[in-house]
Amino acid sequence: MTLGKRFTLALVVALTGIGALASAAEPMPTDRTKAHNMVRVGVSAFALPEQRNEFELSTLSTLERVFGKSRLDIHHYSVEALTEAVCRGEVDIFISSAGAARRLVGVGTRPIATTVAPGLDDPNHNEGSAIVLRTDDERTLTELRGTRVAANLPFGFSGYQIALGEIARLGYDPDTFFRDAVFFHKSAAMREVAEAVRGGRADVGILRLCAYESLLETDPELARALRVLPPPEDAADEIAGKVACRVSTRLYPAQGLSVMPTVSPDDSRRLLVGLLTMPPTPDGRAWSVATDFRAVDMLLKDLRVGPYAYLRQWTLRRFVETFWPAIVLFALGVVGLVLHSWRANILVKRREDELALAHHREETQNKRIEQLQHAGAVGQLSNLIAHEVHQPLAAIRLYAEGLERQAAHPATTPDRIASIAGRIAQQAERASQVVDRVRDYAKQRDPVMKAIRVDDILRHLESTYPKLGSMTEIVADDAVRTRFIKASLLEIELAVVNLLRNAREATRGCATPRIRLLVRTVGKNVDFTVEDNGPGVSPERLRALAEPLSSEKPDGLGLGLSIVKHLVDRHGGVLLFAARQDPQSPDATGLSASIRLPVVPSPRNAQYPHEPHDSIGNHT
Amino acid sequence: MKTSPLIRIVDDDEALIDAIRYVVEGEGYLTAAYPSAEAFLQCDDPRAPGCLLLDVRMGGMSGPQLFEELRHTGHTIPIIFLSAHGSIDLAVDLMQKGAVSFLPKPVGSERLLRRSSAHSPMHPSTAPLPHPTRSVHGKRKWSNWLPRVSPTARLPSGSASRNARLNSSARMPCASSAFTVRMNSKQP
Repeated sequence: MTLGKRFTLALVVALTGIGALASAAEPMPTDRTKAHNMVRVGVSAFALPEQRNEFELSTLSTLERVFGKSRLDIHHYSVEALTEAVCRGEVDIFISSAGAARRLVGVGTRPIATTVAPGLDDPNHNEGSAIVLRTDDERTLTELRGTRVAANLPFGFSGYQIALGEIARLGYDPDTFFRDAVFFHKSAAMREVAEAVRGGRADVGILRLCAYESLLETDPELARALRVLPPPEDAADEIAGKVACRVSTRLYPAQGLSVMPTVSPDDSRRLLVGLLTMPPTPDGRAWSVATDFRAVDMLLKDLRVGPYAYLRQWTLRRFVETFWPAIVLFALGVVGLVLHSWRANILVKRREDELALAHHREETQNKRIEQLQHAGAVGQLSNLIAHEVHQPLAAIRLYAEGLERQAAHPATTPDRIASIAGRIAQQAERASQVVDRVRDYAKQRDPVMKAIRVDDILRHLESTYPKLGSMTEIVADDAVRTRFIKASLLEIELAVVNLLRNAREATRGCATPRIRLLVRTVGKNVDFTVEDNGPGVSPERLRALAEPLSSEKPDGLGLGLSIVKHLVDRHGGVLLFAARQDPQSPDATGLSASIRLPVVPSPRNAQYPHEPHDSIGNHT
Repeated sequence: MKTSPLIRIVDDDEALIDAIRYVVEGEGYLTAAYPSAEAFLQCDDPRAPGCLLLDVRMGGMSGPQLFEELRHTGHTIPIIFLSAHGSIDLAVDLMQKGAVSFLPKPVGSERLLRRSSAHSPMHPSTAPLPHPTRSVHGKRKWSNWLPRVSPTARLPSGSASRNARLNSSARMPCASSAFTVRMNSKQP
């Protein structure tokens, strides 16, 4: 592994650096000792006070022996404070756990001696942790995931970190393995930890090696409420027989004494000799030399602390190496999403385009139909009006030419000429009025709607289309004639005339054509119904007539009816078709077409001259 | 002047009638004007020689219908049709049935007079009168020969006031001043 190589290299560089510093200090030991004559000693608290006191006193007297009492500057630190002091260079010699010592190799720390005790004789393997559960809790370590843990210190090596090392070995992230952690923030908190587990504050307790055995002596009841997890099976062989206490973890070197580069090699040598020759305390504790710190380093690496804290700082490469399967999956997911989004966008765009096109097509079509209908109405109107225009034009031409012919005639007096000229002007005015009316209609898209009396419409109809009466019977009672509808006279007339024309077409082959225009009040509407006695109309044909635009030939009924519909629509009315049923003669057939327009209230103060003033033609 | 032929004008447009009369009378013809075919049948004197200027489209009986009626009963008075809606089909049809001319509106005075004079010669020596072919002695009305036609039968009902005068005059005695035969064009 590249990482492994790099680590080894870093370690070599670090150790070489320590060596260099140590050797650099040698040529002028007097300078250093003179300048910094004092030897600053840091002592980390021991877990078990009674042991600590005895062994600590013995060790400190050894230090006095080696350096002389006047040179010693001894400070007691908590684990955390000691680490900080070492990092600041305020400590030359310190006593700590093997973990703390190895954690600080980066600043030049070098462990030189390790404690041993009866039953903990191997300095390489005389530290570990007991993981305790309540006696009735039969779970294994793996099964304790997500539970609450109790321990003395979050960064205590002996105890908590060693236990977390086992969790890391099992393949879990020790930082998140436990749901919650209870810390007592002091080294000597073994009893509190045990009670937290027994009392249910925590599911798991972590005790330093042999703390459980101490409890068995001091508080057997508390100890018996707890059980110690067995050591990991894969390390059972190397653990077996090494320690006299119950242990749940692999074994590491116990507390030791470390020197900093500020201590001269000579002082170091004399110190080591002094420690190793120190007589064991009455309980058998003594100093020895540990040679194998690999397990400690492995543990620190697993926990990513101390020199391995950099492992917590994610580099891109490390991130990729650690999580490449997840990254690949994520990347695939992202690519998939992008592809999906791209495809969806294309589909949506395509659909939008289709819809826009369809909408545009429909709009164009509607506009064309409307234009066609308008043009059709205008065209029809023009045709009807052409006749009316021709009349005054014909008259004008004849007057003018007659006048020309008779210019020399004795009967052609100035009075006579003036009279004829007046008539010409009159006819010219009449023609221009007709033309204006058509032009106005053609120009305007929205008709000028006003309330008109039905009677006025009928009178106007008769006067505009005088031929109507000869073949059409108009039936309208006085009541309906006084009603008002909102309409454009010109347009409603055109609509009715179209229906009449259709009826005339339908009855062309009849022996006795009969067309009736019935004007009736139906509820709140006025119906203009055109009935004929033409051939019968099938239901299919009736349905076809109700279609918006019949596909009939443009010259025939279709366009005529489409114009009627268009005009009726503009008036807010409806066009109705029915097969005619004549109760008097059941055989009678034919079509009944109705224009139904809503009645409006009569306008106030409106003047309705007897003579309609909105005439197209001027039939007199 | 008693030899002057009578030119009958049947049209529903008062102004056009007036204009035609002005031109035709200017040439010395007698004229008689009728606002409808029905009025013509009721009031015109078939004994007077001349021709008929007949509008195609009119309220009530149309020009071609009147033509059919006259031909059906054997009357051969020369008929010149006037139409603003002249289709070739209609013109050909009417000519084949015996109409002497078919003039589109607006017609020029030159053409109108040429056609009229061709069929209403001022001097019988120039061209013999083509009608009447049947004896019309004692018959002062066209309708006397037209028993199938009732002039008022197909008149429009409920007409507007504007048409009332024309329609009522059609039913009224032919003494109405509006349709008095003008004997002399010199009378304004």
